[in-house]
Amino acid sequence: MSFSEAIGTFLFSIFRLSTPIIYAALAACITKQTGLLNMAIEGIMLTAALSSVVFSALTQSVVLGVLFGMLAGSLIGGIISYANLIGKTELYLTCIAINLIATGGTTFALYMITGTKGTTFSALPSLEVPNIDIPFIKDIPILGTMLSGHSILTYFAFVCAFLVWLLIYKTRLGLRMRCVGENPNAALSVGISVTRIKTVAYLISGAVGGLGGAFMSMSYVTWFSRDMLAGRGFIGLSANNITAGSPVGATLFSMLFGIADASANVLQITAAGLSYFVKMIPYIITILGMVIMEAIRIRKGLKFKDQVVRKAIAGTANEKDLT
Amino acid sequence: MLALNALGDLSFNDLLYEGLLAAEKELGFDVSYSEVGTDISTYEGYFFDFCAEGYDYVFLRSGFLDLCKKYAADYPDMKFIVYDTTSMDECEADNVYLYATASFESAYLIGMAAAGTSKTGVIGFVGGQENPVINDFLVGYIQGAKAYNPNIKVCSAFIGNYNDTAKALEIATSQIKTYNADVVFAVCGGASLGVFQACYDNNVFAIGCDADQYVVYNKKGEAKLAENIITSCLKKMDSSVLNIMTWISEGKDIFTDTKAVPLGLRDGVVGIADNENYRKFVPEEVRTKIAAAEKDIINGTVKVQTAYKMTQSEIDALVESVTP
Repeated sequence: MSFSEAIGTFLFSIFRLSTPIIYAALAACITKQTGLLNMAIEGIMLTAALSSVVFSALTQSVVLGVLFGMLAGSLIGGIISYANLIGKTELYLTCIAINLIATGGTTFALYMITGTKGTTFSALPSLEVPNIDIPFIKDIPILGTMLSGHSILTYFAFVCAFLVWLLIYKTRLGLRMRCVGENPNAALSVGISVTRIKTVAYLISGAVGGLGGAFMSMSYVTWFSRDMLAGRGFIGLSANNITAGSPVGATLFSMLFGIADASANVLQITAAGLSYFVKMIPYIITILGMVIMEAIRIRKGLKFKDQVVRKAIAGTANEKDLT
Repeated sequence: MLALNALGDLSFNDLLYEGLLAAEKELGFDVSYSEVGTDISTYEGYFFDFCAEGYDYVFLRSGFLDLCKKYAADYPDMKFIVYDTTSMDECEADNVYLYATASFESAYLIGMAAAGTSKTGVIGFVGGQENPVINDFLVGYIQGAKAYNPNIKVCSAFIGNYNDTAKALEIATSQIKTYNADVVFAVCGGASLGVFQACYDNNVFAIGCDADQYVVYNKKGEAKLAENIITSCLKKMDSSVLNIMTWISEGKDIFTDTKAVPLGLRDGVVGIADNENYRKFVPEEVRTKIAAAEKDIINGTVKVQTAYKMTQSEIDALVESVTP
């Protein structure tokens, strides 16, 4: 294989590795905007992965398979929001419970449906989301290998990032979500139903997470196997946390995790010690980034307070002048 | 009583269970089994349950070893057999038998097969977790590959668990595409499926582990994936269970050893899977050499090192000597 082709395949794998993380980060981003941390993304994606395999096998339709994955994700999102908002349960405990239920529940469902506890492989005739070759671009060296031939769901992850951005910053619903996230009491005072907005956020978040689950089991590999998410949901969650709910930032940061993962995979072979170090980098950046972001936020906050105080002083000064 | 992780993995645990059934059928033992999972913190409860139920013979996972060391002497009427320990483990109690599988011997033959079949001179290894049991495979594999072709390059990488099929696929793909590996050895339990898929996608050869994966996948109606699996590194847990029970029923006192007993090629509990795919894709000349090496290992003329007796830096040096 030529050098350029090797580089191209490496870059290609970055996109493939990043896709589930991007979906997870976007799902987390949506709830984050309404002020909720969706820790159950791992469980949502795992459930969606099983659901899409089962329904694509039952209906023999790729679209329905993916849709049922999204529905399963939304369903879990609905359960969480019901428990949290109506039942007033502690959100984090609920999410942890959902993750644990998903681990055991998917294996149980797998056993009930296929009679095996390992994987749906060969037990269910599930389908695959097709890959797309981009005309013209695919013939360019490196760039072609890197960008062409991905799954539809990989391309859609980037479209999805744009859609989530659109939803949050350009729609009425998005404005309300941000409003609820910033100050629920203020939102309530102008007649926005906080419960409803948060529920909707959880449903959408579940659907986006569901897409990630469907990618795992219908595109990355074409089967469901137990615990197949292996922490990707949590990585997406941290990609979102550092960027504080910005969809574009979350996507870019997910790519960074993808880059680290891809480099670690390749480095593990030539320099085993170094690969562990590379794997550490995104997490170090996460912590450093969070500290820096927080510092910036505090300083901004101080500045803001400073201005308020100055204005107030200026105001009183003016009043004095008037009298 | 047989305590195992969980049934349905199509390899290690299912093989243990088959051995148990064979012991029931051929030797007339009353048998039962229990799925104890991998959480060692729960093992103490299981251990005392088994003791309370009063079985004559109990097969235990290696995670039970510490419990055996502590409590086995309190139950002199029972006999404990701990399977899949490392060959360095020992236990003083005279009703405990430790049994290690000499995977490095069969992995040596697999290494020869891989090196002999490879056209690019680069072969791959995808392990589950980096632990002594998996390292034993790797060490044998590299030694075998080097014995066949001193210039062979071996890419080795670990997934970190035994479930993540997607990561197995990713790692195998990078070995194939970036390093030109054209035979990949999967020692990662359920995640091996990802390696087989990667090998199928890129049309290179795969090698399975524990059970004969070619036969297993063919049985499941997946001839497509099976086609690229040229052989498997057999770890016949079924025959080892049956062997041990046979010795016991013949009245052989196996429990006097305090050290773990490594069972290998000589005992027929490990080996290289010989099936139609093996004969089709592994060249005749290579197969003859493998058969000769098998004999040499059994009669001791070829000495293969086990990872259990190597330090980490020795293992690292061996891995580095073949890194592409």
